Parts: sequence; structure tokens; C-alpha cells
Amino acid sequence: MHLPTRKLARLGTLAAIPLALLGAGVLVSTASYSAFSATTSNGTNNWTAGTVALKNDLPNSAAFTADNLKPGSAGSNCIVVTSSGSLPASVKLYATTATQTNSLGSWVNLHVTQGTGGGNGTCSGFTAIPNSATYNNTLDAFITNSTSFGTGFGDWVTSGANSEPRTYRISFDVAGNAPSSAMGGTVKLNFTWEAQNQ
Amino acid sequence: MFLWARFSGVLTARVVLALLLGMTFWAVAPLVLGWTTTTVMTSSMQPAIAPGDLVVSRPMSPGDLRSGYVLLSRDPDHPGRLRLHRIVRRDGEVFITKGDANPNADSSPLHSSAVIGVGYMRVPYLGTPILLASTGDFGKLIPLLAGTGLLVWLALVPAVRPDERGRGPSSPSHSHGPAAKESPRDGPAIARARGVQARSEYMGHRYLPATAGALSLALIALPGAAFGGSFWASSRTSGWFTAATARSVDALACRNNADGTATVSWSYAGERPLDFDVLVDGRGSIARRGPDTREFVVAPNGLSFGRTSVVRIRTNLTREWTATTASSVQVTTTSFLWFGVTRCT
Repeated sequence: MHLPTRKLARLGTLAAIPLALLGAGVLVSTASYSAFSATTSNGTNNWTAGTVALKNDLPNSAAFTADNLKPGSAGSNCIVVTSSGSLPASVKLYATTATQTNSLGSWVNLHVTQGTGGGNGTCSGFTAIPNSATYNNTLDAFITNSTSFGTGFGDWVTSGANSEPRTYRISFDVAGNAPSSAMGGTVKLNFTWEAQNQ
Repeated sequence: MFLWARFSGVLTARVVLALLLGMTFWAVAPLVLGWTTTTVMTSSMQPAIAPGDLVVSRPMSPGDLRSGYVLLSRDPDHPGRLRLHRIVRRDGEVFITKGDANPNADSSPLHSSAVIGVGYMRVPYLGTPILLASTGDFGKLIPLLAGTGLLVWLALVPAVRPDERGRGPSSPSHSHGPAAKESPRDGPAIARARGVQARSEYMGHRYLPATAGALSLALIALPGAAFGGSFWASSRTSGWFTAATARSVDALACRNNADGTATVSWSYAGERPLDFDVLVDGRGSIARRGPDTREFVVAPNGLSFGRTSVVRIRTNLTREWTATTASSVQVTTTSFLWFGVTRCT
């Protein structure tokens, strides 16, 4: 039997390397074609066994229907948000479909505190969670700046347990120096909580 | 037999290494054009794109973006993270994207300003070390790196033992040293030439570690990793805030009294105010009445004689939030005998 020679090694290397480089090109172009030629996105296979689910205890009613607000008026309500997804998720609160007239939102201060207890339309039994994030700004800033998950408020990260509640105490007060131009103004918004798995 | 095993092992290692380097070339070279290469971190685009793939995205003007394109963008939900998902809908400058494997479209739409590029080339598997390193899966990363190191080492080993010197069949007893087999007629010059050739074959591949190292560095320095958008769920409740409006009083009226005074009266149906002000043109508020009062008696001594005064009522919801009647009543105070008399006019 012949032994491999150095010449054979050089020939083999010289032939194999260009072939391999060519192969790399074919591999990349084939992979690219299959990845990017599709024009529809038909997701039928869930890639992670898990869910994210969120509900609150006032889904079909208003957390606030505050009429006849004047400078100095104030109010609060506590909403229990419950996560029941199986994946750990972070939860953010933000405003959706907000409208306002007469710049009323600029004269309403909004405070959001995270805690436990309370709910079903009352804050009795509410206890704030120490060192949790709080929101303190005008309602106008909230509906202008906090409009998506990325800009939302809150530092709640769920564990993925079966049912995990958290209470959000939302309170407001109308600034004492609200000008008469804000009279009759309205702010309508949805308080939206969104959970995204991490 | 061992020599053939070594020969084919080394050649295979060289082929595989060349394949890897070729794939690395496709991932890295487009960076020169200003394209972006990212490592795919999640399975949200499977089966088209898998975790560990490298995806090369080319910049494209927003006007050319269409549904079906795979978009690399800054993730609006996670500052600093990239998202690689397919466009499912376009509304002007806003794109709705979705991972092929995700049940829902992404929660936050993308503005065209967040778009980095469109997926153009996919280099399979090559980002696996980056994926493993960033997920901290050292149990797989270390064997993978060790295997790669072994591959590089094997590819650089001469395919034939240097002392074989390209000889044909030789028996183990004669393979002790080339000098033993060297025929005197070949002379030292040929032996030297062969020595140079052997060295050059070996040296010729010295650039490989340097190249591999440089490319690995380039890979590590790639701009970032692309994540799939998350599963999401939301829940909402509404809030409706309405500010009060100060309302002016109604049915402003004036009646004369027997004692020479006049009574201005009104009705009021709005939000309970702080109080009411009685305004006289040119003099401002001459009196303040409580929130439940609906009349005010104008006495002669309060007004100028011989003058007709225009009286209005101002509702004070707060000191700032007020409303004054548009209508007014007029009273005239005159001198009658020795008395002043106020009469509605």
C-alpha cells in the first residue's frame, strides 16, 4: 500500500480549500434564500412552551369617572392586576387611546404606587410595597410619554406562578393653580397593563 | 494505516476550517459595506431563522420596505435591544412586525426611524458561541471552543510527518531518518531544497491562526444580538376626568321693595360654588354672598346718587374659576325728598 506523500497533501489541501469556500457560499446563499424568500408569517408553532396572561379587577368599568373637578379636587382607586402566565414576565403600565381637552391633563397630578391588598374599587387594605417604583407626574406627561411597553411605568416582574396579584393605587389631584382655561376640560384614557416575557 | 488516518484527518480538518472561514467571510465582509451582522438569540423566527444563526442585514430606504421582509430594528419595548422580525403590515411610516413562530404580532409597532436594515443573508450556526456566551451556557461553550481549538490545531499539523519527506513506500526500519535513505547522488543541495519545501508547506499555513483570531475578534465585535419580540398580554381599565365649568346664574331679576330698596335675585343650577360676587360696572365686586344665597338687596347708600348702575352676578367656583352673567339688571338711585331711593330701571 502507498503511503500518503507530501505532494498528495498539498494537492489535497489546494483542492479542498477552494471547494470548502465554494461550499460555504452555497450554504450561506441557500440558507439566506430559505430565510428571506418567504413573504408571509404564518406562526403555527409556538416556540416556547409557555404563556403570558394578565387581567385586572376592573376590566369593563372605569377606574375613574371623576366629574366636576376643581382645583384641589382629589381621588384614588386601587386596581388589582393578576398575572397567570407560566413565563416570568415584566409588567408595565401605560396609557392608550388618550384624549384631552383644554389641557386639563397638565393640571392633574398622577400618582401610582404598587402594593398589595385593596381592589374591587376600594383602597381599603392597600399596603405599598417598600422600595417599589412610584409614578409622580402630571396626567399629561403620562398620556404623552408613557404610551407603550417600552415607555411604561412599573418594576413588577412576575415569577410565572399560577396566579400572582399586584395592586396599583392610582391617585390624582387637581393642581391648586389650575387656570380657568382648564374649566370644562376632559381627559379620557385607558390604563393599560402589559406583560412581556423576559 | 495510521499515516493514512492522519493524512485524511488533517485534510478533513482543513476542509472544515476552510468551510468555517468561508462562512465567517460572508458574515464579516458585508460590514465593510456598512451592513449589519447580528446573532439570533431566540427562536421567534423559526423555522426560517434559528438561534445561533448570523443574519446580515443591509440598509434599505424606508420607502422600499414591504410586508414579508425581515426587519432588523431597535426594539421599542427593550431599549438597547435589537429585534429581527417579519413585517406583516405597514401603515405609512409605522410597521407591524411579527416573529414567524410567535402567535401574535409584536405589541409595539415600529417607526421607520427605528429600522436598521433588512435581513439579506443568513449564515447558519456560526453565531452559536456568541449565543452560548451570552446565555452563560458554559457547559456547552467550553467544549465547543475546545473542539474548535482542536480543529485548528489539527488543520495546521502537517498532513505527512516531516521526516517522510515525500518518500514513497518505506519500511519502518528505514524511516529513522532521511539521511539514512539519502542517496549520495542526490547530494545535500536536494536535501536542503526539500527541507525548504517542507518548511514552506508548514509556514504557508501559519497565517491561519492569525486570520482565525482576527475574524473571531471581528465576530465578537459584531454590533449586537437580535432578540425575538416577547410574548405579551395586556389588560386595561379606563379613566375619565372631567373638570367642572363655572356656570353663570340664571333668571337674573330685579324687584322694588316698599322701603326704597331693590332686590336683585337669581337662580342657580350648577356645581355648588365657593360664593357669588355682586358686580357693579365700574366698581367691581360690591358684595360677596354665600353659595346658598340667591338674592341681594341694593340699598341707596351703596350706590352713587343719580346714576344708573349695571349689576351682574359672578359665580366663583374657585377664586380663579368663575363665570359672570351676560345679562344684567339696572338700578338707579335717586334722591326723593330727603331719602335716597333705589329703583329697578
